[in-house]
Amino acid sequence: MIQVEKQTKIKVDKISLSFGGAMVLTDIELDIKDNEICAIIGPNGSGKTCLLNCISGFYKPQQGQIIYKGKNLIGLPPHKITTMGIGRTFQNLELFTGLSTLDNLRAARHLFIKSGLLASSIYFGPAHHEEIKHMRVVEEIIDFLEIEPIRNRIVGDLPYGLRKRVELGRALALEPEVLLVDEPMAGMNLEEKEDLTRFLLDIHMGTEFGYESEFLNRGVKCIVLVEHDMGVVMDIAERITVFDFGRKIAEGTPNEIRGDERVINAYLGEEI
Amino acid sequence: MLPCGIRNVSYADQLAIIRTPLQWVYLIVALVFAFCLPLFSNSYLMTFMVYVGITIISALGLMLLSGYCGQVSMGHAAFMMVGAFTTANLNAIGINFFLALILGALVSAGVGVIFGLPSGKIKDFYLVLSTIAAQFIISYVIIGWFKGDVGVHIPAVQIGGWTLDHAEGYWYLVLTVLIIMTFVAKSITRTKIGRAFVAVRDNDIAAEAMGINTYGYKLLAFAIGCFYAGLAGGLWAGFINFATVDHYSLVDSIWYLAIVIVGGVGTITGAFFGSIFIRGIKEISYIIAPWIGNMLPAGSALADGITLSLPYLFFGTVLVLFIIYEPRGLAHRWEILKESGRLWPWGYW
Repeated sequence: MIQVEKQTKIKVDKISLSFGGAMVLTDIELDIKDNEICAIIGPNGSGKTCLLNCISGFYKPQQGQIIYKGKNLIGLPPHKITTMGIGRTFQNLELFTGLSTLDNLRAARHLFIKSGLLASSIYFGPAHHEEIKHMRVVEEIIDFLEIEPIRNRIVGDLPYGLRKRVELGRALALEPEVLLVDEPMAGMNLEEKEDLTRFLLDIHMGTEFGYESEFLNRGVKCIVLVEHDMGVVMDIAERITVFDFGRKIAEGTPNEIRGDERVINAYLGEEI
Repeated sequence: MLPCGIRNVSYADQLAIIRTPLQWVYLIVALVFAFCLPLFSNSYLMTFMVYVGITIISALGLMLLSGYCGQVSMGHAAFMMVGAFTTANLNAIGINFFLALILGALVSAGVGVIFGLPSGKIKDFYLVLSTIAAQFIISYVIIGWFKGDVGVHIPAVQIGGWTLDHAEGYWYLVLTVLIIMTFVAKSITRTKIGRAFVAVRDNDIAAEAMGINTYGYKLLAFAIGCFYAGLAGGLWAGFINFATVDHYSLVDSIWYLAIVIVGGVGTITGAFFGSIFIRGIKEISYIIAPWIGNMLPAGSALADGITLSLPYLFFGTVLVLFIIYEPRGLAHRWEILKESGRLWPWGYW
């Protein structure tokens, strides 16, 4: 196996988050490294999604800092953080339900389209050329995720499994350096899980199809996966962090986690 | 759905609106017809058409603001008032009407942004309430400081040697502005900005996660929507040669919102259908109200009141029926009609 350098991509430094009196995250320290799929697991309500929301700017932790590219992310608005190269999907599907699959992905190309109000108002000329350019990228993502049959369907009318895939595609359209995936397997059947796992691995490793969009060939090297499905997590994650009641209780490779007593206790309960 | 036999073979094809030679013919015939309309219609119809045209321009603005960006505004008529009074007051101090018109639209856009500021913190029902506040605050400010109490006179608009003191002449001005503003609105909606608007409307959390500055785009929507309103307000004042607060009341704001709903939320064609439909209802009710009044006992309160109340009665009924039976509006019906036309007579049996 080729050894790749694993530099820290995002450094979560002792963050604490509370809503009123409820401590949601306590002194979380975590290094999210490049070139690996890092999974975060834990029972319901343990603060996994909260951590993702802190990284992507929706929650503002009261203490600590999150360092990415030498900058503290805490306090930045979510759209700035996305601009810096952190893309995400949501646990409860946050799609633009009134738009087609194609337009959902095109909306995510927002960052890369430069034409302003004037060029947009005139349309013909620079704006038109840019639309075509990004249409090509979006079509390649559609090809990559095999969602051609639903490209013109309104997303609100699609079944759950396909919506999940559209959301993944939308996050991919941001050309992120770090991809935060929040419970992609929730509510999926076995076949859909297998498909989605394969897509996640493809996204991570890149493809050999020779797409014109370089980011699809290259892949998203740093993926943070929040997931309940242990089978999936143990198979694809290289490093696992376990949360319980807002605290980090364990960290390590899948094999280490499997045998960790604290993890077993957190999931199965312990005798008093 | 594409017309029979038409295939997308390039991305440009996929993005194009007009795909067949026949569609070009339709467009050109429609434009020629619109420009020739004064040749074969009387001044009553032309006056109606001028009002419809101005209403469409204003409705396009509200469509972008409320229909696309989801920021429901109940102060749209007030923003028209800003445009009307800015145009009239600037024209009164000697500035050319057309320059005053554009300045009026810009001032209206600026005022719109100010009243859009709360949208960063509040949404839905609460934002609606704050835009109702805009309606009243703007009225009071204009009555107090900008001659709103007596109104402002505008002399007949002149282009070169032409004096547009009749509906036929003014129709050409309104039509030209309408065509330009429709093109701009359509262009905005099919590019980055339009998609960002819809993203903010459909899911503002996801919009933020896609790198869209939701607050910035809400303000931009207010600016664009109110620019259209200001332009329409200025045109209106220019047409009746007078700017008065009475023409831009809260009730008018509600009419505009109804136009967006009846036309079809989030469609450019909806602004056209809605404006024609609602203006038509108003006009028809004015014609048939005296007729109904004559059938009622003469001199009774009911007979006197029917002329005033019939438009509202119609309006309320239509709005409720649309919300129940066709919430996607006339534009959606039009799409269905077009598709069935394309399948006919060899549709799925």
